[in-house]
Amino acid sequence: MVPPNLFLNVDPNLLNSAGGNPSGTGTTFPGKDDPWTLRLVPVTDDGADKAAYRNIDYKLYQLDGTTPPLETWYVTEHQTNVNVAPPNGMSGGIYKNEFKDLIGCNDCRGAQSYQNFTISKTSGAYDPISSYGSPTCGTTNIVVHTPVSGDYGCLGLWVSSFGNRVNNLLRWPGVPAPPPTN
Amino acid sequence: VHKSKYIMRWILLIVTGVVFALLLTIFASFVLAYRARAEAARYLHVVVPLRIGTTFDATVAQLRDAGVPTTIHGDCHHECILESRFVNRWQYVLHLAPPTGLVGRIDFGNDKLVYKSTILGRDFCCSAAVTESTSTISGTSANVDSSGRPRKIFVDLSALDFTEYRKQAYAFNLSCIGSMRGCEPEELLPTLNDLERALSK
Repeated sequence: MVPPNLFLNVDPNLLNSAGGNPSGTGTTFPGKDDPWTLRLVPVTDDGADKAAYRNIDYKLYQLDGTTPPLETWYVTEHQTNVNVAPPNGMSGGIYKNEFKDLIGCNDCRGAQSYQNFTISKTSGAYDPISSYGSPTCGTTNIVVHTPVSGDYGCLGLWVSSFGNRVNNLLRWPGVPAPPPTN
Repeated sequence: VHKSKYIMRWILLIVTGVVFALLLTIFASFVLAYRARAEAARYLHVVVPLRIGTTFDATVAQLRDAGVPTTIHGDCHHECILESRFVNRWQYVLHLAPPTGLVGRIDFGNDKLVYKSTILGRDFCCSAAVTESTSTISGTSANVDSSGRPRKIFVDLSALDFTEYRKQAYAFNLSCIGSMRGCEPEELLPTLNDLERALSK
């Protein structure tokens, strides 16, 4: 499943319309990071065809996609299909600058959902006051930056025990599987 | 009168047959769930001590000797995944229990074991996952729901860690497979608190 075009590539004006500071100077925010310039980047992905579960490790980076944020942020995921993240479609919010996404279920034939992310300075449940990004899959989300596929404000998930797809991909191109141990 | 008696007898016979078949199916679903549980236990017995770098042939031989069913995805001379699923399929097809199962995955690259992932999960509700990675430090974490309750538990186990921590990390509650009420998130891996305590020392 691929999200509608509206959600796929980030509109250059998106950050402005979201009230962010696309110049990345941080001048409109009290902290060191400008939250709207932070990107969620998949760093490992063990997705495979026919595999029941898929582990994607997302880390939060600055606009360059490689430098960690200056401060600690907590990532929360939001799903339009609440069954994918019961009871109300949200989960996460306790890792420092990271979100571990385990996609899958047991012997399910397929469920679709749109996923997006918000970040907050406080851990735990999503708080509309302290969080950056929208809990719905709209245009004001923390952007997912992938090394090959591009940037996304919203992801389309197909959850199935016969291979879990994100934006119709079984694995993010250019993102390595967890590496072997020496 | 004789004809209606004859019809009644047939109806009774059919109803009895259907009820018997249904009871037999329900009984079989429980037997299969218990079998899945036993197979999951045998799988863990083989996989927990398996070291990164073990050859594909040696791994397959151990699993075969233990009577563990596996599926191979990919070409094992290059890269492949060995997957085993132990799920209470017939119980949830009959709506007797939520789908709960252990999914074991072993990745091979150039004929050597490079990655292990073992997940005990209940439908979309919750899961406990143990993965062995390059990290030299083991750790636990969890995704919480909007009320702060853990839903997805993650244990990153160092492939070099062969202490008591490993045993606790793989202490999945296999009785969740076939449990009619379905396990709560914290029941999937009852040792979670011990794992967190061990790390905080």
